[in-house]
Amino acid sequence: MIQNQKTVLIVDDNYEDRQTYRRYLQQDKQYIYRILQAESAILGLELCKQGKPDVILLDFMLPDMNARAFVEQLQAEFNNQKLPVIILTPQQDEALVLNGKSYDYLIKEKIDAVCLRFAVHKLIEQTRLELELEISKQFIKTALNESEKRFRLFADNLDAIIWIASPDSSQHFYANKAYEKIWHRECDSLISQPLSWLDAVQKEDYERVLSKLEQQRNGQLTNIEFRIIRPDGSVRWIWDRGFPIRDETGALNYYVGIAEDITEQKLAHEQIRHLTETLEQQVMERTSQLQAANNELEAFAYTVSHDLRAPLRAMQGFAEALAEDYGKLLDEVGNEYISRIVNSAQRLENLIQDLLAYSRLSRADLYLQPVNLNNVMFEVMTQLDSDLKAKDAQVIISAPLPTVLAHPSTVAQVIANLLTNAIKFVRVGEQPQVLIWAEIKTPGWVRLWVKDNGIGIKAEHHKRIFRVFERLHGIERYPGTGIGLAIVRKGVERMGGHVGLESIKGQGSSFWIELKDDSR
Amino acid sequence: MTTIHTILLVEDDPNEIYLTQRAFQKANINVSLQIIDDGDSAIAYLNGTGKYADRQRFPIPKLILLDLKLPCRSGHEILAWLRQHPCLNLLPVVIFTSSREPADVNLAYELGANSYLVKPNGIKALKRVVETLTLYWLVDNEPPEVQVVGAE
Repeated sequence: MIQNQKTVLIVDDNYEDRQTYRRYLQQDKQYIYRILQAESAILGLELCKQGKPDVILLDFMLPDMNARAFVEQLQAEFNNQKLPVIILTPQQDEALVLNGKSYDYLIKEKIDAVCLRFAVHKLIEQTRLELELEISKQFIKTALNESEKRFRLFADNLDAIIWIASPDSSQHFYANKAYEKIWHRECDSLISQPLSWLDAVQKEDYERVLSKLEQQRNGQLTNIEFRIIRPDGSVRWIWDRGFPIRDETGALNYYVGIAEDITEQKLAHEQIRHLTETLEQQVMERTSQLQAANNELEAFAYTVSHDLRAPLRAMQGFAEALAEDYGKLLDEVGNEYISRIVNSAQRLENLIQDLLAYSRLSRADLYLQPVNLNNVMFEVMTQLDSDLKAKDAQVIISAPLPTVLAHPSTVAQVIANLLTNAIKFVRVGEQPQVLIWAEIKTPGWVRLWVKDNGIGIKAEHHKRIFRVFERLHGIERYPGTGIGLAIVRKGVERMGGHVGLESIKGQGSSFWIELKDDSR
Repeated sequence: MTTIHTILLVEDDPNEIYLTQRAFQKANINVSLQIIDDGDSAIAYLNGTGKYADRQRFPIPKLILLDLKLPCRSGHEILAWLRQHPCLNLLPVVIFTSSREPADVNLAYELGANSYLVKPNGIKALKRVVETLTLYWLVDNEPPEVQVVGAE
C-alpha cells in the first residue's frame, strides 16, 4: 500500500484553489495522497527540503516569486534534477522550459478533477519510469564497467593477440596488450596507423600476408603463418587466424582475429625434423654398415670355400696318396695314423661344407614355388640310398604326400638332414625305422612328420638342438657337425615355415616341418 | 685315342696341380696336360703370344680346365675374354674349382662355361672325376671346329 501513497505539494496562494485541488485528489481511487500545502514559494521550498514530494502543483504566479525562480531554486537544491512539477498557469503560452527540461502545465481555469488527476498520474508514472530508467542505466553502466574490466583482464593477460579490424583493413578497432609483447610496438600505433603491423612482416612472407588481406576483403576465413622482425632484429613466427563477422543482414562488418607467437613450437618442430633426419641418416649409416658386414661375410664365405679348403684337400689328397703309394712300407700303426689324418680332414671338410650351406641359406634369396613332396622324397631317398643300405634302415613313407610352397633344393636338403638324423641316432645294433607322413593341422599348412625309433631327446634339449654347433653326443658315438638341424630350422624359416619336435628320451623322436599348403 | 689331345689346366695351387697330374697318371690317361698358373699367362697361351708363340709346343687345347681364383686375372675374366675371342670362342671350358657358391656357379654359366665341377675330396674321387671328364669331353663329346689363324 505504501507504493500507492504519494505526497503531493500544492504551492498556491489561493486558499480556495488549494482546497479544490485537494478535493479532486482525495477523490482519486488509484493513489492515496498525503497532501502538503504552501501558500508561498518560500514555504513550498522549505517543505521540499524536508522531503521531495512525488508531485508539486505549482501556481505560476506566487506573491513572493514566480514559478521559474521557484523551479530554479528547487533544481539547485536537488542536483539539477528534473522535478515532478505541474505548473498551474493562467495562460497557455506560459509553459516553462528550464535548462532544456520542459515542465507540464495545466491552465488554471480549465482544471477539473479528471484533468488534474490525469496530469498527476502521468507525472507519477513518468517519474517512476524515469527512476527505473535511471536504475537500469546505472545497472548497465556498472555491468558494462565490470564486463569491460573483465575483458581487459582477460585480453591483456592473454599471450595471443586479439584484434578487431575492418574487412578492408583500413581500420583497427582493437588490439590487446599482447600486440606489444609480440610485435614490440605500441597498441595505439596500430589504432592510429592500422597497417603499421605489416611493416614488421619479413620480406619473404610479405606477398602471402597481402593475399591474406585480400581473402579478408572477400569475407573468407584466413589462416596463415608468417615471420615478423621486431625492432631489435629478432625474428618471430606468427600464426594468425581471422574470422568474418556479419550482421543479421549478412553484411560484412568486422574481422576478429587471433595471432599467436609460435616461434617456440616452430623451433621444436624444426628440432624434431632435424632429429628425424639425423635418425634417417643414422639408419642409413647402420644399413650401409650392415651391408658392408654382409658383404664381408660373403667374402669370408668365399674365402672359406676356396682358400681354407684348398690346403685341406691337399692334406687329405697327399695322406691318401701316401697310403696308396707307400702304405706297404708302413706298419699298421703308421697306416692308422694316415687314416686318422684322412678322417680328420674329411670331418673338417664336412664342417666347412655345412657351415657354407648354412651361411648360404641365410644370405640367398629363396624363390618359393609349388613343390611336390613325393618327388622330393624320391630324390632324397636316392641321394641317401647308400647310407640307408649301410644302416639297413627301414623307411616307410605314407604316400601320396601333398604339394607345398617351397624352394626345391632347400626343402630337399631339410628333409635329407632330418632323415639322416633319424637313421643316425639309434641304439647300437638296432635297425633304424623311420615313418614319414603328412597332415594338415592348421588349414593352409602342411605338416610333414619324420618319426624315428632312436634314442630320443630330453625335453630340456628340444630348443637347443636347432642351434648351430649344438651337439648332445660325442663325435665318436654319433659323428656330425652340429649344423644339420640348424640348417633344417633356417631353411624352413626362410621358406616361411616352422619346425618342431615331439620326443621323450629313450622313445624315439618325431620331428616336423610345416610349410604352406599348395595342393589344389 | 689315336692322337694325343691337349688339356690346358689353369691352376695356381701346386698341390692341386700335383694331385691332378697324379690322378691323370693313375688313371692311365694319355693326354698332354699343359699347366698354366696365372690368368695373364693363360691368355698369352691361348693367344699364342710371348713365350707361348710356338704352337707345336703349346697347341690349342681340346679342353680347358679352369680354376676360378687365380693370380692376375680370375677364371671368370679368362672365360669372358675367351667367349669374346673371334676364333677361340667355341673352345669347351670346364670350370674346376673348390667354390660351390651359387654366385660363382651362375656367373660361370652366364659367361659361357660348358660345365662346372667342384673339386672332389680324396684321390679316389679325383681319379674318378678325371676319368669321366676325359672320357666325356675327349672321347664321347663331338668337339667344335676351332679355326686357328696364323698360328703355325
